[in-house]
Formats: sequence, C-alpha cells, structure tokens
Amino acid sequence: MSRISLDLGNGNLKLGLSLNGKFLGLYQPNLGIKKTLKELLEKTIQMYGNFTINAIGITGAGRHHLKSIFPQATVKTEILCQYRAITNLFPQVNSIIEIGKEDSKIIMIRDKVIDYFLMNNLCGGGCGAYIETVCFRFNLSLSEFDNLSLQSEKPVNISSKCSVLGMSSALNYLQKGEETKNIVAGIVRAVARNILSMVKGKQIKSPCIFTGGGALLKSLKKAFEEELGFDIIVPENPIFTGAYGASLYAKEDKNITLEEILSLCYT
Amino acid sequence: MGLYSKIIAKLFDELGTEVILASPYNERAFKIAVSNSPLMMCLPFKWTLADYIDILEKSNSKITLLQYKTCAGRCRFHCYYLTQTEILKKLGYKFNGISPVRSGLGSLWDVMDITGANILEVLFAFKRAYKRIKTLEEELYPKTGDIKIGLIGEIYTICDERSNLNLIQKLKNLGCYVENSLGLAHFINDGFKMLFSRKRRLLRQRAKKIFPELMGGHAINSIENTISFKDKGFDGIILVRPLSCCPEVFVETIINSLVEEYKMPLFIHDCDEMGSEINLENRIESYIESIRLRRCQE
Repeated sequence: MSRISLDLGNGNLKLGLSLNGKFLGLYQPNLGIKKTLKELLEKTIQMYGNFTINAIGITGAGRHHLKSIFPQATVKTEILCQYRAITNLFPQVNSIIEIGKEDSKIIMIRDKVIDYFLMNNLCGGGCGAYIETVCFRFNLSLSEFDNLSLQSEKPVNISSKCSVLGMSSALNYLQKGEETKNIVAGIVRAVARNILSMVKGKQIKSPCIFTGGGALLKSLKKAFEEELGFDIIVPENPIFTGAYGASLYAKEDKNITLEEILSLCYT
Repeated sequence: MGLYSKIIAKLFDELGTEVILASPYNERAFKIAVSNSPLMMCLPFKWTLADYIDILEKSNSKITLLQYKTCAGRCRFHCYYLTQTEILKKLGYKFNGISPVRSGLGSLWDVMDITGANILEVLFAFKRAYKRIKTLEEELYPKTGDIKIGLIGEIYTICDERSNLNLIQKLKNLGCYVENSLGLAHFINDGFKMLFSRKRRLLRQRAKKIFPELMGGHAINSIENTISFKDKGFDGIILVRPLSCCPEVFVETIINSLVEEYKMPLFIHDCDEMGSEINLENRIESYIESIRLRRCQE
C-alpha cells in the first residue's frame, strides 16, 4: 500500500510518500500552488517512478485549495495531523511545540487526548518568517544564523512581542556596536519567549516535542530548553511531521497513479 | 448596524419617530472611526462610532443619535457617548448630540421622552420588539449538530458579526449546535430571572463562591455561563471578547481553571480590527475537530 500526503503551509509545500512502510519527504517553497505542486510531483515521478497511490491526505493552511484539486482526499487540520504524527512517533508525549513559517502552535496532550491547543493569533513575532527577515537584514544563511547564535554567551534583550519592534531593537544594538552573535542569540530567545507567552497559565510538560521548520535550528531548541528548564526532543524530519500525520489519516480507498494525480493539476 | 438594529428601528417607527439606520457594513466609516479612536480602545467603541459616522454622512444636522447606556456591570460602555461626541465634533459633523438610553426600566422612560408616546404604547412596542428579538435568535443559532458549543464573553462582540468575523456562520458550517449565553432576549430574561428565579440566584451564588467580587463587564456572567454549560453537558466553550476588554481579560484565569477542572476545551476569540477571517476559520476548524477527536477517543 502506498500513500501520498500534502502539507501546504504558508512557506513551503511538503509532499510525503509512504512506500512499503517507509516515509519519504520532499519540499519546495510555495510559489503558486499548482505550479509548485506540479514541480514536486514531477520530481517525485523522476525519483521513484510512476506507481499506484491508495490514499491521499491533505493538511496545512492551504488545505481547502488543495481539496478543490483533489476532491477525494482526506482533509485534516494541521493541529490534528501534528498530534497524530507525534503521538505515533512518541506515544508518551505531553506537549508539542510547532514553529512554521508564519504560524506557531502549542498542543497540550492529557491522557493521550488533545487537552488544549494554541496558535499565534495577534502577533507574528514567534514565527519562522521573523528569523528569515533577520537573516536577510544581517546577510546570513539560516545555518550561519544558527551557528552564530550558538556561539553567544551573552544574548541581548530583544522585544519579543512584535517582530517589527524586535527588528528595530536588533538594529539599535548593531548601531551601538554589539556583536552580531549576541544579537541573533537575543532574537532566538525572543522568538522562544514569544511562543511560550501564548501558554498563559498552562504548563508545558515534559516530554515535549519540538517540530516544524523552526526545529531545524539548534539554537532555538537550546533557547526553549533554557526557558522551560528541561530537555526537548526534535523528531528526525521535523518539517514533515504534518505531512506524516496527514498520511496516517488518509483513507486507503483510492486507486490512482502519480501521473494521474499530476494530470489533475493541469485541469 | 448590528444584529438587532432593524428591530429597534421598527420599535421607534411604530411609536412614530423617524429612524435612519446605519449601513450594514461601511468600511470607509470604520476606517475613519479606527483612525480617530485610541489604539487600544475596544472594538465596540470603534464600530458604534463608525455607525454614527455612516449615519451623519447621510442625514441632516437635526439628528439626535441614540446610545444604549448600560448601568450594570460598570463597563466603560456607559460613557462611550461622551468621548464619541467629542470625536464626532472634532471631525466636523453637526448634530443635536448623542442621547443615552438607560438599560432596564429606565429605558421605558427614555423612549417615552424621545418618542412622546405614553407608557402603554411604549410597553406594547417593547413587548413586540422582544418577540421579534426572540424569533431572530431562534433562527440565527444552529440547533442541530453533533458538537454543542456555548458562547460566553462580551455581549457586543458575541452578537455583532462584523466584530466576531462571522463566528456563528463558521460554527454552523462545521456542524455545531450553538447556544449564546448573552443573546439580547436571553439577557433581558436574565434580568427578570435574577429577581424571580431561585435557581438563577443559586447560579450567581455558585459563581460568587469561585470569585466573590464583581469585576465589571460580563465577567461574572462568563463564570456563571461556564458553570451552566457544564451542567447542560456542552462539549466546548468559546470566549468572545474585544481584544483589550479589561473584565474579560481579567476573568480568563478563572475560566481557564474552570474548564481544566470540567475537561471542557476553551477557545478564546479576541476581536479587533486587525483580525483576519481566514485565520479564525483555520483555528475554529482545528478546535472543533479536536473536540470530535477527543469524543472518538473517549
């Protein structure tokens, strides 16, 4: 049995393939849904050949648009897909932190059931886009940003409520001659604080899983651990947990080849 | 124009007073209202001001604006009209002024003053308006659905779909049964129940055991309604409030501990002019799906 799952986030389109019990993932920046989807599917066919798909799962902020292209697919929200994927990988999990490009989520689990979930609503200061803006301004790649931040021993204090004000305080520090490594470490800490401030009185309990594109930054993981006071776990492929959850939800009642799926993108 | 505006307009119309209704949605007037209000001012202030601007742009200078002046709950709503008059005058609009209409029995006297009708005419007009409000609410809130959702919070944002970004319609599309604990008919009824129903007073006592002080706005009602929704076996609670609403922000801690104890998931919907409908849609769908999943697992 083979499954395909699509996670259309605000930043990237993630494609997951479950083949003979193995999960494989590909992703591409979202530059127009149909265009990106076509490119990703063509790449998949090139790499793995054309085979029959038995289940299609869809998730992400753009799931409704994808549903209009694949009406037969199983559609679930990101919260449920993250929950399903993480509980499948780590059955003892108590909380999940997910940082995407333009939104971030915290899911609390009690007795293996979603107890509470939070998504950033009023502020974009706790998202990947903030870090990308900083990278652009400081002319750093994401891995350079991450390494620099890990080197810092004295992170500066940066506004955590708003990315625009955060950016302006980062530039003020730069103009005062502060070292770049301390500034970027301050930004990472501000992002972690911003996300944790959403919790409001609830407690994030260990074991806590940190996933989403943001989890690729070791410095952000470290900042969360410092703020929370315990170690957190990052899954092997944090970008694809949403797509993995969608593939677990997908109903196995289809019989369609990858080429046929690709042809649906041309209609 | 809010949910009940047409009914209130008809009430005055029946009593022989000419009424000019605000447009259902005037984006331009709203932008003027927002840019002339303090940044952290709550959304009901901005929307009522926008409605006044909309009306003043299509009427003459002899108009008197009305504003419901709540005397209960110590909400700042009761002095909105003073600040709004100031803003409207600064913007150069000419009008007779904003006349506050008291809540409760005082409203009978105020409406008599405005319309010149006698007490019996006003009483009957109120009765007819109440019936219309009840019918409107019965039709508005979906009464079929597998998930039962209770709405608590601040009355204006719960009832005004421009403020809550069509929350009711979204819940309806997701197949929910919705009960609004702060609909206008319910609210009027509640005032009488407080006087005559022992059960209702007991509920207030239960709420006061959790938090003994009145903290303004509808905060005490939010505690009462959370208890009452739990008793009725609801699946989830949505707290709707203006972003900077002090009483509702204050009561959040108590509601949070209550829902934790009751194992009822809570969704907080902060309404402000910068909110996005698509973001709300995404979050509400996740919330309802998580309740369905919880039910399956249990």
